[in-house]
Amino acid sequence: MSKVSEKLASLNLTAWNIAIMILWLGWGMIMAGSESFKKGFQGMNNVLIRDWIFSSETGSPVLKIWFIGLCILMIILGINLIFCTWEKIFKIIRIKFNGPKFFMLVVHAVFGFVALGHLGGLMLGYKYNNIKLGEGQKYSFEDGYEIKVAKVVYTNDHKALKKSTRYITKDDFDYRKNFAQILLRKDGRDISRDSIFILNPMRYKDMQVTLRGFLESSESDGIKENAVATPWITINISRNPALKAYLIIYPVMIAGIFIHLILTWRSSAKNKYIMGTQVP
Amino acid sequence: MLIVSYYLIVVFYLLNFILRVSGQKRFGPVANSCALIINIVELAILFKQTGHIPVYNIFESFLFMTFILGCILLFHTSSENRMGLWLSIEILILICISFFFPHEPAPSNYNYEFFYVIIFHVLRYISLALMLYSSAYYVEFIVKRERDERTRALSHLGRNFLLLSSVLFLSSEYVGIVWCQMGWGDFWMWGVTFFQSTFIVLYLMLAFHIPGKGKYAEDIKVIFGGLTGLVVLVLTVIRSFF
Repeated sequence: MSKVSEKLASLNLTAWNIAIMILWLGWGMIMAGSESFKKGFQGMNNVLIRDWIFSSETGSPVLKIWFIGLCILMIILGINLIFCTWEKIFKIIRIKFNGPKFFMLVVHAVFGFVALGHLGGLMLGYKYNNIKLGEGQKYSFEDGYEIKVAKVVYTNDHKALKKSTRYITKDDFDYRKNFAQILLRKDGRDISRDSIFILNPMRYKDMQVTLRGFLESSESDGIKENAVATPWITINISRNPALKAYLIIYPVMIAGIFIHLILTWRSSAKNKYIMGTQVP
Repeated sequence: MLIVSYYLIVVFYLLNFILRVSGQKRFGPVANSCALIINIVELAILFKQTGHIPVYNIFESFLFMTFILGCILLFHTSSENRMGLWLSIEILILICISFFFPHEPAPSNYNYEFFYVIIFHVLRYISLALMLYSSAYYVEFIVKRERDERTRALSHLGRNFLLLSSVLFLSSEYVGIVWCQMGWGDFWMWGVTFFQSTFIVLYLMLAFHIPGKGKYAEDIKVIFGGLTGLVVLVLTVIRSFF
């Protein structure tokens, strides 16, 4: 094995890289908590990162540098993972194969796919957030798709509409009773109709229409007097082709760690100490 | 009632600690059992008052964790090691922190009865309690290792419970991902709470990837493993402000 690949596969690189990532994330936490960067992070959440990073209009340069730094660290971790898996774990398995080592290999390999799934979520598909619509209003987006709000049903006191969602209690708002009827169209043709509730979105193929909340209708928008009382809704439209795979491989990774734990739990049995009591 | 029982919990856990320190090991578990009974009554009162599982603010969730650690403490009556003492100290740390936060239940947010929200929080705090438990093993290992080579098993048990807590933490993260996907249409958000979770995942990764062999490397591994509970506790408190 060459010296370069040896270094790329080393646990030293893993540990230092993770340590720097922790510091980098700490910097991110400080920025996310400060008022001056709050809007910047909101901008990151509102569109796909692919669109955010290449747009000259959105995002502060500091945030973009921070994000690129995070990506570089993740790429180094990925390279380290590939080399480590190939050079070390495979070698160990070839020499002496056993269950715990196999599951360690599975966990590391699946972690790589989880990271790729995460990247897919940031880069693939599309994302349109905070779309505010009233009854009868439409929103057009990619590939000739269009969303129409057929009906908004709001049964609770309208005072709750003025509150931040963080402070809305179950007495203010019942998320199972308030909903909106949504019509999905493509090229002018109706293709799906469904009711969306908070925490219960509408799905069509890879696309998801999510009800984020209700808000007071805007009188200044020229809506008829009788429609003013009906709240508007805020929705997010998203499509993530990597989502299903991501949701499958993530628990596989957890299961791999758990099985590895079970298989290696009793390594201490010969040491005679279990749960604080001495075993004869 | 809520405040009275809270102070009774404080008194009994403190008594448990004092009895263990003073070598009255027979009476320590009695005080712990009394604290546990009042602890579960307190959790039941919180549940009855609010209608949600008590895991949504520092006061509720730390009482939830003291209950878990108190239950674990019941299994550590042996005089072979000081696990009972370390666990008692951890319980007191949790109580001390909760002391500086309002002694009242979290206002029942509209989504606190949503299945994924409940599971996310419950798994997260069970995981944190187990992290503290694993820290106790690491502390005991650090204290004992020079005297007895058999205590190497303590470090292994610390590693086992740290790995188990990691499994639970990742499970809570998975549930959180599903919750986020259903509530926001995406499984990731750029913000303090998500960074905090990733910070913990990275810290756990680091604790399991310390390189090298021999005493020096082992010391670093044990220190990183042992600090996990404290690090996550600090992050949990910081998170409560956002």
